[in-house]
Amino acid sequence: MSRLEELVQKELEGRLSRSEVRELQSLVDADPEAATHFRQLLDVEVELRNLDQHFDVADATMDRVIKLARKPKKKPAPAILDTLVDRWFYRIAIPAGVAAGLVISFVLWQDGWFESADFVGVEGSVKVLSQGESEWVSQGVKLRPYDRVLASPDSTGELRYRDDTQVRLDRGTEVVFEPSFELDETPSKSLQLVAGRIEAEVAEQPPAKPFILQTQHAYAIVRGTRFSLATDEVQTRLEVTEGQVDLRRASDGATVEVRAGMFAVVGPDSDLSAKPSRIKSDLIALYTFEKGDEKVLRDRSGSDEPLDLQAARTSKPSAPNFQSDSVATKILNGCQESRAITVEAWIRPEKKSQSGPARIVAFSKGSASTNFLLGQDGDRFIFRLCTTETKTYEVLKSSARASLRLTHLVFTRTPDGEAKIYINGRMVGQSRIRGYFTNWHPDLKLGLGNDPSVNRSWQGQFRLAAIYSKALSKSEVQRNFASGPDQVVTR
Amino acid sequence: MKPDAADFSTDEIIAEIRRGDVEAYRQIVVRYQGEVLKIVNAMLIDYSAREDVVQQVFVRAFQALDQYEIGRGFGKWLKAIARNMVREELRKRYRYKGRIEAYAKSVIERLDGVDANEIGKNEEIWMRRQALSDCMGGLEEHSAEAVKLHYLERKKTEEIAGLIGKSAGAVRTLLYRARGQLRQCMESKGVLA
Repeated sequence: MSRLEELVQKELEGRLSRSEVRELQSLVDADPEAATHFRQLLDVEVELRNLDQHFDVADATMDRVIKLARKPKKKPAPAILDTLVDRWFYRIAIPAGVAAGLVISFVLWQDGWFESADFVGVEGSVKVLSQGESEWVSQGVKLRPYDRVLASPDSTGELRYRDDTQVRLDRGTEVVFEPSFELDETPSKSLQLVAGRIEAEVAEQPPAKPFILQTQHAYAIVRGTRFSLATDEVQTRLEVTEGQVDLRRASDGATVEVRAGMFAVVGPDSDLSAKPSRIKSDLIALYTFEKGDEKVLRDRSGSDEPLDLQAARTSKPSAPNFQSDSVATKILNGCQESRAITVEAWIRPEKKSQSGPARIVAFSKGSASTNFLLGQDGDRFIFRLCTTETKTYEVLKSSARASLRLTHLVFTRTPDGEAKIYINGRMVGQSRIRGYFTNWHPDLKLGLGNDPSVNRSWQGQFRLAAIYSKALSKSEVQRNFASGPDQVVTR
Repeated sequence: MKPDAADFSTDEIIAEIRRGDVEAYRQIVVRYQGEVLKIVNAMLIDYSAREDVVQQVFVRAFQALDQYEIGRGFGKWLKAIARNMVREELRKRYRYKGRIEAYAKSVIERLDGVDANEIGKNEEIWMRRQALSDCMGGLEEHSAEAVKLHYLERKKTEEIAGLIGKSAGAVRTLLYRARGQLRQCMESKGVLA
């Protein structure tokens, strides 16, 4: 199968990413043969669709028609008006009214369908594409219908509507001020999230006029609440902090009510249901390994300064290796202060047995300087932790063996020294590691997949890694396990 | 006894509807949904959206039924409504969905072709259908099964996966390989421009 065929396939399924749209367009523009090939593939698709012998919309159509027929018809205007129209007053008043209506409509259109927004805060550089021109903006810019807003990979922006509704754009997020014509609801505001993620605090909207956020997979119908919405090429994820948001799947109109503390996903492998969100309190680092994270792995915890990790050289393609450029100060400070820690990872090991121990999450510099280390030693998972009561470190080992399946691995340690290790929500090891973290090495970096200073590579695939400055309880560990690896919405 | 609506001409059914028998409109939908679907198919939108657009065409036609002149050809009148709606829908989709320009152009050209040809009556289109049927006979077993289930039985890839014991990804691969083979085969028969 050629690349062209692959892209056409995705186009037909509405799954093309923005870069693929450009790629397909340039393939078709540059090569007349490719253009013919493209057209022919579309022709074949139409012919195939015309084979459908089971198409029957009679019942559904009649439901709509009968509903329509039952609606009372508007009464015709009384005949007296016909004579009144002839009078001079109406000859002036009606055209004047029409003109005023047109002016008001034009002003409303210029101002947004219902409400436009202003940029009230920009960190870094945010680009606005408006009426074919683009400009880098700072705060105070008024946005207009169809304006496209792009936050660069290192920048964030904040929009505010007249009713104090706030929408924060995460790094690398793109939104368009577009109306949603495809729903029955008339929106008060309308915004399309093209890529990336937003966090919003929506003021109470007028009755029957929700704020509608659209992605390529879904509509979020909001009447006043706090939530996060993220989208990529594959799925749309919604997490609600306060109130309730309806998430409607674009393909079939199925809708789920998502309440506070819950999330829902619209994607190819997701059932449309609301589930409890991941634990967010005391989260200090979060890595979700999303598309675009290949060179710089973003910290999406939203806590303090992000601790982004850089992709480092790796000996094998199956050995991920990400290292922080700077000292992991926020992890050091957070855990020293709380005297507690949780290290969590969703991983799929490449080999059942690995040695080194092979580093999964390492806050260390070789074996001599270790603050903590989550690793795989043989066919077991281990956690090394340094405290004032240990020599170099104390080790806790899982009783269960590593498998090649997707695995949820969590280590927790409470302030009073109770240490536990969980695999897929089940506790598989515990001990007491007393002491404080005040002797932690102050100059260590954080590494995922390898040690920041020596080669102890772990082979496998990461789906998520998180560090908390508290010990998650068993029920919290199980909640994160139930949430799965792909459902992070919050930054 | 009231005669079966199938015995009535379309114009007689329209007259019945105008006299207040809304349920008679069902016969209009049943008679013309296939033709409207062919126009909507030219848009190449996803399956569920396609059903909605066809329904909207009939709803709009019902709302405008008073404007139809008995004896002028209901099918032609309905198809004009369908084509206008499809154009509106296309404008919306290409503006808001960010699909590629070449795709939009191709779909508009195809729609114009539908205008000119009156689908189903044109010899060239008949030959293309015949060629498709022949080419489908040349597909290997799994691909042919996937194509049949997807396009004739309207099954989703996940459902097909369950039926033929493969993953949804494998079914997608089978489908796009089949499309590629059908394109080659139909091109060799000289029915694709």
